[in-house]
Amino acid sequence: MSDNAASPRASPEAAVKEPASMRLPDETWVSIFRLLGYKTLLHVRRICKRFKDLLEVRHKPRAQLDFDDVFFRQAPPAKLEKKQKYKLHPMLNDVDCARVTPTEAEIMHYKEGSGDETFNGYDYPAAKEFATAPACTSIDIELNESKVGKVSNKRGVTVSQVLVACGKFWEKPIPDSVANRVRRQGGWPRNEKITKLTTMGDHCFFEGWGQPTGLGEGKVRLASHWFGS
Amino acid sequence: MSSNQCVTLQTSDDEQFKVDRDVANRSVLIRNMLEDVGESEQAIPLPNVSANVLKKVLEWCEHHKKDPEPLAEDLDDNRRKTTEISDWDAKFIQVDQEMLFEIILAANYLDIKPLLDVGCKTVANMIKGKQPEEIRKLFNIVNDFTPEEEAQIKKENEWAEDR
Repeated sequence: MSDNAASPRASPEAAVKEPASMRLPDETWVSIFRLLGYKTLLHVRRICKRFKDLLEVRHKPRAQLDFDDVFFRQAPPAKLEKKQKYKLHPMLNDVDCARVTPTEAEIMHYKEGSGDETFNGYDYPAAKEFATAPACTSIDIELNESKVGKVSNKRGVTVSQVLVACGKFWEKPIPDSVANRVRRQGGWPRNEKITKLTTMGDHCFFEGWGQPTGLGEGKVRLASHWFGS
Repeated sequence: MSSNQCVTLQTSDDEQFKVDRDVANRSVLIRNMLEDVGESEQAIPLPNVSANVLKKVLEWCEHHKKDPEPLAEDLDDNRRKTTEISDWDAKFIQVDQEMLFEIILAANYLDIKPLLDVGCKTVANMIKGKQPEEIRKLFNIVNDFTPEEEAQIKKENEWAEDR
């Protein structure tokens, strides 16, 4: 008889005390967790110590998927190929609509039944997680077809870095001639601060991001969708 | 001789099941044992599986006896997060929770990967979209965190809560 037959099985007496679910071996629970996404796994982490440990200990040898990929905690590998597939952090990926400034990342989720719900993304620890999995070292951001520029971080670009870069983009001053025209049209005083945000109005909203594209060597391109597009 | 095509399996509670060899072969454990032992009239002992569970597992093996061998890459491809289950399997796995986990344990022990897969997907589907307390209740899991530990994890998770 082969030895791998020895799975941790409880005797019928022990079964009375121990729930059936807890008799599953660790590797089976790990296979189940691999079928779940970020948000559900955050819930699973809270269930009991055994589950939390399973999600935090690396299970690399047998599977390609590491939970660090799901939880966006792993630093970028030394070499990231051009054809590398990247996952986008749910905080960026799941937004229905967003408008960001350097201090406020107004992220909107559409909830079935209860309508929209808005929260400030910066308030959450998840904003400190990596923006992509595997983590990348630079992201070239495009917002509603305008170039925002590059965010770099050798240790891995974070969610909040991406949000801050977008925020700064909207805060950028615009040419004096345009600003003056906007002030005149709006009937605003000469010292009124005019930014891209002022001129764009609702157009500064964007509606989620496209798939991150790997450009090789840990570089990624990320473009948002227009609001209403 | 038709007896060559049949295999006798003996459960933990000493019941014997006579099944076609291609049904029994769905279990890699049994297949390997048969290859090691060669031609034998002796019953194969399965000390980790009881009769009521084996009966259920054999029902699955019977239905899937003609399935092609899954490709190694398909088995390994955990990244495809599909939790879809075929209609027949979905109906098959509609059992009480005790039996569900018993089937998973048996599939694991008997090394029947596609059945293990069905079991894992079923449990994953039960977990999806539920709050931690609901999952604990569902599976009779004891919360062994201290209130402080719980508050800490909850804080880390905040973003995804109630969304």
